[in-house]
Amino acid sequence: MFKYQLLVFEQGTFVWGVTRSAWLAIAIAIAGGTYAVLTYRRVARQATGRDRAILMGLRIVAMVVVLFCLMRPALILKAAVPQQNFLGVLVDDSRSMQIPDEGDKPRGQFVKDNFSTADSALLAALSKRFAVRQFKFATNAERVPSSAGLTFDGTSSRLGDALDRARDELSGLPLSGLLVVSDGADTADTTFEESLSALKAQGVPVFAIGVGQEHLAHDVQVSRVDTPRRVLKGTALVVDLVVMQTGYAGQTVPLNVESDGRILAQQNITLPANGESKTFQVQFLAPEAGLKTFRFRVPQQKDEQVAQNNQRDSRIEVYDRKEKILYYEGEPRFEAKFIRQALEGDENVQVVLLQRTNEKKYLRLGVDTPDELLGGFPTTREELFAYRSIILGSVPASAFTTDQLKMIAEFVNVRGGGLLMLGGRKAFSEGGWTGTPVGEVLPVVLTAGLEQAAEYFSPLSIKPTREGLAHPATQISDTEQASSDRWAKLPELSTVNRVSRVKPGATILLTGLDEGRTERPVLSYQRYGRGKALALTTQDAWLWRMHASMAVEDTTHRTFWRRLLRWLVDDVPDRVELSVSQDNVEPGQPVTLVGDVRDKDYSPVNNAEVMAHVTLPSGKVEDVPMEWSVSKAGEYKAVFTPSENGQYRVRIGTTRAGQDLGSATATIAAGPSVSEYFDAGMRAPLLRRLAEETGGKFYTAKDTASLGEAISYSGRGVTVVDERDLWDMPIVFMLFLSVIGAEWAFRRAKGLA
Amino acid sequence: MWKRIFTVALLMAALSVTALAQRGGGGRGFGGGGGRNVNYDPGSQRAKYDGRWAFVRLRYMQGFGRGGPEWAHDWPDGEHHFMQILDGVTNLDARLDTTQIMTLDDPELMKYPIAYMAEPGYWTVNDKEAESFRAYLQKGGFAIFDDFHFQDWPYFEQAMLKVLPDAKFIDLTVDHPIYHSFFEVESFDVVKQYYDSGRPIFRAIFEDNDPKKRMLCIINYNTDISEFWEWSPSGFKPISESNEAYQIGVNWIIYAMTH
Repeated sequence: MFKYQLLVFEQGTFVWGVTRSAWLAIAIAIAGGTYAVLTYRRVARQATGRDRAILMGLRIVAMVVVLFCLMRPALILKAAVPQQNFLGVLVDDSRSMQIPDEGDKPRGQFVKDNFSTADSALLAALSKRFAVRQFKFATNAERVPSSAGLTFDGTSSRLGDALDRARDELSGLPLSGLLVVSDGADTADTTFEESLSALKAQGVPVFAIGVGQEHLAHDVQVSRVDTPRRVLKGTALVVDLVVMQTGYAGQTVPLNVESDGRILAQQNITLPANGESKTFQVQFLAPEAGLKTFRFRVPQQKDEQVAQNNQRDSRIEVYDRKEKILYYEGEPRFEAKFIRQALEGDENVQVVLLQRTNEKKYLRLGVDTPDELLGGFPTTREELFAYRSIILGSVPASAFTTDQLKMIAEFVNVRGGGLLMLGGRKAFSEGGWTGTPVGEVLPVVLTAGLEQAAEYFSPLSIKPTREGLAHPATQISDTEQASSDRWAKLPELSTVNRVSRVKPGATILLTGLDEGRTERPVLSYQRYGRGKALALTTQDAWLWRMHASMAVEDTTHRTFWRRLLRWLVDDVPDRVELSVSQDNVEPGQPVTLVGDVRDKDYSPVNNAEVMAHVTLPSGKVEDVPMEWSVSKAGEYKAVFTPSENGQYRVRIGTTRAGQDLGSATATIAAGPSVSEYFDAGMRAPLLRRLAEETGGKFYTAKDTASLGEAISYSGRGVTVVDERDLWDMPIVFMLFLSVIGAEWAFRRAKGLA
Repeated sequence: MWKRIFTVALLMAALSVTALAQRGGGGRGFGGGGGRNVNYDPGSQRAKYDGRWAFVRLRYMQGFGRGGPEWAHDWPDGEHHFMQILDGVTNLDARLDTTQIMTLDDPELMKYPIAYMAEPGYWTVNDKEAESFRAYLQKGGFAIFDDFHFQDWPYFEQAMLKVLPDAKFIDLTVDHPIYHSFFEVESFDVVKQYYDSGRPIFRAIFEDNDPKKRMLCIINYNTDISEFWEWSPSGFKPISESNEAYQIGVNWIIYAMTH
């Protein structure tokens, strides 16, 4: 109908090819128009004004069509000269190309059908026009004679690198463009913006064939799992998982947590709507020490197309040591007894109680040495910073020296420890903490002048907030729902502190309704510097053990304190810390080692000698010196590149002037990545953007008929100008006939013929 | 140093007690003073819980006493005097405005994890009380049994075994931490009562009958510590003995609040 494909209209430039004087054409048009007017004047008597207008209009349209043709419209295209130009074809050789969603066949089958031999459909068509150079790409890109040998087992797709490689290799040659045949699953850490800019700068259009379905018909995917890097043995972990699915909306499926071949936890989850993600919480214990791999898995469902993305593995270092918490209680009261009772038998959390029994007398319980805390609360940073966390009970600020108050604030801010203040008659505002360095650290807003105010007392009916329900410190049962039910049944506690709001940036985990039905923060926290500060405003959490409504067998009180205190010491840094930029890499992928070195008072050390000792999977040890990064105090960096599959253990040793400052460890796992299987639908937006921004075009595997022509008319390489007439398009002739026919029919109908 | 402070506190307490006695008229206890007209209805003593510990005296089923109910022996002066001493020498913020009388199955008892029982040789316990008191001890409550004589042990043992059937009674020595939690108590011989033959015996029941675990109760057998408390301001007892009795009492409370 239009004589040419749409592509020709898209790529071509419209011109009037008239060779006679334009005046002649205009004159003919005027003559024609005059003729039309005169013609219809003659029929004026028989026809109404409306009929005359219609007839005149039809005649004028017919004349315009004739005029259009007379002016010889044409499209100018730059067509590539056959066999004079090169075309780089980049074929995806990664694992995701094995996914069987290209009509029941694997995505790779399209490649084999179209690019493996000279006779293959698409390759043959392209070869008629271009000198085709094929590349395969996955983790690396390389030239291949054909796609026949592709195995589709690459563990990643680095599209940007592949484009750079092809562009470099074909530079200097007349290049019509690049053709990417891929599902668009780019798993590189970086975007391909730089590659895209280079292509645009050189004017290389990229054409893309998207292979596979944009949305898999049946798939469940564990998209993300957030776990800590290390955790204290015996800690109940509450882990967030993001699950996405298509084809199983509303179905309930099991979600397992597995380690060392054992199922540690299982819960049923109800899948969200198609294409939507939903976050679930799963709770499990870290039962044994060591470097553990935890697998979060939804079993493969019926008809599911990709099973590999049903699970995520996460490596967590479960460490086994006693974390010491200094609990300073200003007056004998039951909170101390019951916190100690709750932690009794816990092999990993040690509460050292410094119980002030009168102004100058202390009872020390849980100390390791006869000298520990002998003089009361520590007076040096070295002594205080040896603890991982501090609990302040009902003790007034006036019980401390100014330097001790600063030390407690620095304990959180600089040392990175946890601080928990408990409610009591001498705590918070009532204890004179307002305006002190510790008051600054606390997550709650304190009020001045309450030390001397009349005593306050209110019962508190406590419930968790939305954050509290899913928080490891306050989730007191195995599941969120069970935890919520448990909280609803706990007896009320009481407070003697007028705490009514938290600071901006603080998070409330528990709230309580007081006597006047006003909601008050009960348990809140905020990050402060390198550490965190918590406020628990109740004075008698021990009632969750003793209250008449609590059964002897009930473990809520114990669970609450164990979880709260484990979270308090969780992630508290050591003097020497080591982190890695990525702990799951493929061999050949560089990893940045980052060390943080502190003195006994946790001030950064910039003049240390830091050496990373990397134990390879083979057992061989490589030493990698680390240098102070200069940009950050106490930070040391080095780059290490794993060369083989397996576990790499990294230990950094630090010395200064021959003195040992401490060490830290981390692990790196090198091996094939499974990231190819995640978000495994064909990523059309990425490929479309790549094509459109470089002046190319995006195709799906089902419709590649015009691909060769499109590349030909890309205007790149060695081209010739190709003029395509438009006047002889069938549509023009049909339009003319239609107008004339309509006029005739109208006249017949009106008896004017 | 501490002995001196303590003695001063004791004298101050004695003075204030005198004032209390005048205010209270004839409302005194049943101890050495014999039976008088007192209101020992638990309800009349009930104060609203405010988070602070109050001295709780356990009221048990009526036995055959000496002019009054046995559970009330030394009440109220014994605890009043003791609480003032406790307040004077420690910074424990306990209630001085009230002491409590509670039955063993009173749900409110759970809010006061230290409780005192006098004359447990007369103690009889029914099933409901036994069950409730067992829960109290198992959850974390601490009981002080005081003031019973050599011949009364079997009756106490019978009642206690109804509460904790598997309990073993373990004799304490003076080097146990409970006698060093605040004051350094060096001998039990000082708190010997003239009407008891032989030396005072201090026993305890521990969780799982393991002396390394939590102490559930202390049993002052063959002596009467609160008798010293009751009569300390009167001059009826030597100051040194009253002093020791108070020290032992203070130690119990500090220990029970931290263990």
